[in-house]
Amino acid sequence: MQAHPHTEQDELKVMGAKCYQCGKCSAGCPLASQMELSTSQMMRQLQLGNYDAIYRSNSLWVCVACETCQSRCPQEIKIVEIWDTLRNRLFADKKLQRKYATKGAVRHILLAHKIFLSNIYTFGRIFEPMLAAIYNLRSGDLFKDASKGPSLLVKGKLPLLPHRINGIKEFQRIFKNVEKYRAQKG
Amino acid sequence: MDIEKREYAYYPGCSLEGMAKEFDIATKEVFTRLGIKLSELADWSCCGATAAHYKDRLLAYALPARNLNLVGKSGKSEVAISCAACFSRLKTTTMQLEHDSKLKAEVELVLEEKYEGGVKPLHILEILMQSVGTARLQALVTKPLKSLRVVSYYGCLLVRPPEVATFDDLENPTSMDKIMECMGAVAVDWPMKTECCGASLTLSKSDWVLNLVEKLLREAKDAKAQVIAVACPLCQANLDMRQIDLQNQKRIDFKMPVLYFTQLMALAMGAQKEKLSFHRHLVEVQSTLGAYLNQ
Ligand code: SF4
Ligand code: SF4
Repeated sequence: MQAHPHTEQDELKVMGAKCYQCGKCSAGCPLASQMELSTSQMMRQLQLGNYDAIYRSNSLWVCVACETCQSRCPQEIKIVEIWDTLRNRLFADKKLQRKYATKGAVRHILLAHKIFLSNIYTFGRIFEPMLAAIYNLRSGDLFKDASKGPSLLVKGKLPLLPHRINGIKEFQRIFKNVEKYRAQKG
Repeated sequence: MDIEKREYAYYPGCSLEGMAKEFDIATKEVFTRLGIKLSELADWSCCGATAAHYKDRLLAYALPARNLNLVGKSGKSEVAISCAACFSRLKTTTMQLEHDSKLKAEVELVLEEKYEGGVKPLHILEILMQSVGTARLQALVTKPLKSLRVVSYYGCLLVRPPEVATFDDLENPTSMDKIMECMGAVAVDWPMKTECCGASLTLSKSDWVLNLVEKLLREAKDAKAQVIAVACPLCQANLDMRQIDLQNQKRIDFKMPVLYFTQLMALAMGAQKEKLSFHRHLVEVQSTLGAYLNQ
């Protein structure tokens, strides 16, 4: 983490400088109707260095990285890469999370990503039944998709036992090393 | 056409061990019939999917890099991938690490081993179109899917970003359509080929996914499609499973089977229906495909 989210000298501002607000990104975004700031509005706030507005909006988390905006932008701005960097910053910063990510859809979406990652960490691969169960438990959405559980089981779609990879120790070290590396870099 | 290529390393990815087992089975069936061996990568691990690149860029490159190194260690230089999302993560990683030496050094640091490079991730659609070719595919068809109307759904990561997914057109891909035609089906054109299904939001915001899926299904129905062909486990799960929610919540019943394109290929190539796990789909397949299943 080189630049603090609120510094003026930010590489992201530079990446977004070429945006001329044509709106093509927002027009093709499949989740535009759910975003509090549209893709192009997010880009404008970035140019202004208004990170508070960016993080206050749910847009970073509503985005599914479908890449439509980035592949259509006439200015060839790496929109998803910019958003990933913004998302990475929030993920790495508990204070930012407490300030911006404790309510509503953002909380739920972030929680789903975290559970996904801890599922990978535990097994080396995704174990789907546990993914949905833990999500429902932790989000308070106890019965979400519960009606589908039994039919998925009957259909044999859900494996009953998790598979843990042989190299799990070495695999988990990748996660730990990333954390360590980030901590060292401050 | 590269007929010499008889073996690839194979990366199934997590979904193909679980919810999308039928995709794995059908893909292997098709490749066996083509005389191409897919050797599953020993002890492969998750590519990190969307969550890893949302959390930390370094993690997002390190997780695929572990698998790319495994391919190298197995003595192969190409890895075949069925899942569109895994393909995208692995290919993006090879491309980034090739030209970003700083990132490569960081990845090697967290992997605690050298990133060897030189491995090429290939999506199975790409192998089928570019190395096998339509002529050889057509030659294997014994039970053509005559007059079956199929819309091909590519979703996001088979075509985007265009510098990664290089094997088809960004806005109007046709590879899956061409394969469906080879299988004797009618490849129906429709406007939603590359629209997003809502992807990973399925876990946390299923109501939003439901809206996107409804639009897709409506267009497929309007195009008079009988089935939707897909190449991504998440697309399949969203389009198939959410039809049950549409019935329950909105009383809309599209009755639209959503099949992996290799399931349809295997069927046309004469595979036993029992082998293809159509019973694993939530939207019933028998009544649409009955004529083809029993021929
Ligand atoms: S498409 Fe590109 S240039 Fe146009 S508004 Fe979006 S980011 Fe800006
Ligand atoms: S990548 Fe995100 S912002 Fe861009 S079009 Fe897709 S969902 Fe919208």
